[in-house]
Amino acid sequence: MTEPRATDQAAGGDAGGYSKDYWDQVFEQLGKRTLFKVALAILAVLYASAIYAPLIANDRPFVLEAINYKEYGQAHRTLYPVTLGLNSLAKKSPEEYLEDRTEGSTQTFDEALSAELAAASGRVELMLSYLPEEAEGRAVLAEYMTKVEAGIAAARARDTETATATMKEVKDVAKRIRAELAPPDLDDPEAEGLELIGQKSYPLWESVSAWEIFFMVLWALVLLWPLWNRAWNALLLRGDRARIRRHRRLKWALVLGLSLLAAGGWKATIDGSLNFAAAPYKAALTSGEIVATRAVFPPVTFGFAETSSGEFFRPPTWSDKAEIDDEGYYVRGPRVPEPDVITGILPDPAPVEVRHGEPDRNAKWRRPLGTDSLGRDFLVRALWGGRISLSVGILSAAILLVIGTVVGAIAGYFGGWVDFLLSRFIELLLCFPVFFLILLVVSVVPPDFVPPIFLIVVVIGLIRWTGVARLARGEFLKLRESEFVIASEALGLSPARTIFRHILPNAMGPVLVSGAFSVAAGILTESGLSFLGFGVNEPIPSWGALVNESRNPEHWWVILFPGLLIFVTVSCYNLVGEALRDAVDPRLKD
Amino acid sequence: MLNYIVRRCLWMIPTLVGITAFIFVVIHLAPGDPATVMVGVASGGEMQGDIDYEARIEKFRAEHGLNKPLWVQYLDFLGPFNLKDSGHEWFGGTGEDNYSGVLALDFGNELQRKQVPVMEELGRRLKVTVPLALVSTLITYLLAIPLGIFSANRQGTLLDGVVTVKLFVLYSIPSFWAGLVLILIFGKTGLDWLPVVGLHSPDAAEMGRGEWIWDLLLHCVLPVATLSYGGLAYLSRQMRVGMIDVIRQDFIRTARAKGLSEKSVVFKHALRNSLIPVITLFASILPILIGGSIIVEYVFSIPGMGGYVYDGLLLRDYNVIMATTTFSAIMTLVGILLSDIAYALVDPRISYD
Repeated sequence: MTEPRATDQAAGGDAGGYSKDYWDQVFEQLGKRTLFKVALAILAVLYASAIYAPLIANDRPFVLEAINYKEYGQAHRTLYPVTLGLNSLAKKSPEEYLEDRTEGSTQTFDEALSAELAAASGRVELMLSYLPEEAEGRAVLAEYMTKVEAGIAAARARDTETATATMKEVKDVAKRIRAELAPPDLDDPEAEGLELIGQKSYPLWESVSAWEIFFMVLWALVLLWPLWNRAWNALLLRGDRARIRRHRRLKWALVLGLSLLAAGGWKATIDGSLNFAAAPYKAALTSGEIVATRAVFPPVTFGFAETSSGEFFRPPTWSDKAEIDDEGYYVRGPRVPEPDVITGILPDPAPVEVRHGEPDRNAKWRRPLGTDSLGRDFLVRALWGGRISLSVGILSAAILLVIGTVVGAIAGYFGGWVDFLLSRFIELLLCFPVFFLILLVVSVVPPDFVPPIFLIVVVIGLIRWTGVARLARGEFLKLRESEFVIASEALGLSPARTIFRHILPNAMGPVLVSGAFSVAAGILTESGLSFLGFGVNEPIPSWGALVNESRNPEHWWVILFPGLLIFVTVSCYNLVGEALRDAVDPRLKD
Repeated sequence: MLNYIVRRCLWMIPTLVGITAFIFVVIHLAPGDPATVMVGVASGGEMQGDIDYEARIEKFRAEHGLNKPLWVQYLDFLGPFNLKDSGHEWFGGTGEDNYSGVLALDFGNELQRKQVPVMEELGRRLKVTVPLALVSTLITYLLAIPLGIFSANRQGTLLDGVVTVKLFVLYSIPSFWAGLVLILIFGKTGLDWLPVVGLHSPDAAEMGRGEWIWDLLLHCVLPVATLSYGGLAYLSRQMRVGMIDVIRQDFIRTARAKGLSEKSVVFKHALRNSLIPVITLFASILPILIGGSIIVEYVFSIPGMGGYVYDGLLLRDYNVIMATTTFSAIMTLVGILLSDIAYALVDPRISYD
């Protein structure tokens, strides 16, 4: 099939002469197939949409500059009671405090003082953060804090007299604060109120974790590969084929390294583990308790687990049957509410809640793919579901490729009784009804024990490797008699080195081909399991689980769209596998 | 040949023991057992308190031998002696029920719905699943072989390209989705041509014989289509490849050179040789059909073995799981054996002696 790889280096020596090596030829073959390129492009887009899902569809804004009137009002309202507490505490001597303190409390006098100080300063800091730089209120608050600190210092020094006097002044300042720094009345927009400034935060970015950044950077580099690769080859290597070939590995290392670096940096600086409860926040934004001066949302402003009670199983909004009126009743189609036969009363209205940043109730693009039983957006869930479905395919294929290659290599290389035993074992495994076995294992292990999705990946990997093993065994049986293997044995290289450094690169072609088909099979298996309800844990979506949302044919969007995604992905992988097979070894061609 | 078949059948025994032992261990080692499921099922909504909760679990375990060591339970499963408390006197039982297990053709009763023997219920359900699987296989072969020949004879033409691409697309459709889309198209929401739930109409009991059969046939169309399209796509591809391989060979050129008619060349000389790879695929189609029946029966609400597996898994019913596992393993092994025998019949160069 090929020449051993060792010739690569030899060819590098001739400056002018350029002989195509195995992979050059493979790429050339692949370049001729339009269908392959189309399939690859579709897969690239699908993976991009899964990887960048948090940036495309999310209920958290990228940037949020908002005034939380509720929070400010609470701090403002409770500052005076806190001051009163401080006041009464400062008046006491430590002995009196110990006498008066609540039953069961073990706080010492000094600890009580620190606690009160923390309570006061926390509130003041919060209020300060909402006040503009030039606001007069800042001076009052600063005065309050200095006096509080002075009073507490005096109390700590057991100078009760000074403390009492200072605290009295503090109380006066607190009264001024209560009067002057009150938040504007939200219910009365006409009323003149205090002017506050928004707080800037980045809820979306802060909830993106380091591994997500890793894949985002990785995929950006991979997608831009044709661009920077061309520039690199032309400018840095001046089109020298031999050097280009040697730089292949360097380029891959660079891509991986850069992604890892970005992920590490992200972990160190932003961390990305923010637990931001987006749903109540969005509700507060809608009701006006929080007023956003600037909010930049992703293109789709729904979260994948964000429910909407008035919109369960709503058809895609571009269809005319999806129109809903003010009361939450459908206007057309089979879901138009009918009055009760006896009482003549319509069912209770359940108005659709349009939250901050969302499209209008009947906007065509509000629910392009409809919703599920809890009113969760199907487009968003399909986007996020791709993360599970696509990665299950890749990961399970990776596991089975590794196991299959190693077992096949050992059986083919050593032959004899090793081969006999391994071959019998493979035959035994082939007798298992595969889907049945995977279903069985996944269903008996409870989901809180091991996340089912990991289990699916591992079990597929552990059961499906037999095909690859047989392929690899065949290749090794064939190659082990070739000259370069005999040469490497004659050189005294260890079997492991001969297998992995010398034979494997030459046997990789057919194995990679079956890898592409394995990804397709893995995706199909996962979707089947999820469809039967043995897949992901709620509320995490996967394409198969999405189809399982409803088997009622009236909810056609539930059945149609996620299934279409699975189908397209699997077709693309099969097409890629087909093209790879023809390119890697033309003799296998139909 | 007979010698070979006997030897192969004997080989099946250790294989079967291996498969069942593996699955037995997996389901018993997994946390949770039917006893806890039973308590959950039985207590339902009303809260009785947990007074006899533990006692009921203990009683359930003792009754079904779940309190015994795992290897004893496995031997009990294999049979023929019943090793539970109610079992054979030799093993310390009371002697009420001496024999059970696979060798006694007794898989015990269903654990959750006590009265029904698993074997009986399995038999009832196999009467649904096996005909469906056989009909699907038959249809698959009957369509795939002519389609493959047709495609191979027109290799390189536009028609061949269209057929190949179509089959390729078919092969990539997830089976549950195919079933659901068929329901969408042919069910009440679409054309309303075919029934989509179960195998019989609700009023099937009052129908005459002819009407009853017609009703059954109508109900079977969509499930059979769903079961067979994947195999059809796969098989006809293989058939096409095999046919093209054979047509390129010298003896076909010779046959043509002799002046034989194209029909005779294709059907007498080429077909027999190109059938070999397709026949071996029989072995791999059968387990796919068994796995597929779980999904298809779920989609179309058919009370067959696939549905039984699904229920057994949900209820953690060890007896049901073990019975269905054993049966599908046997089906798979027999499928492999049959295709090996067929291999020898089609290709006289192959001999197993």
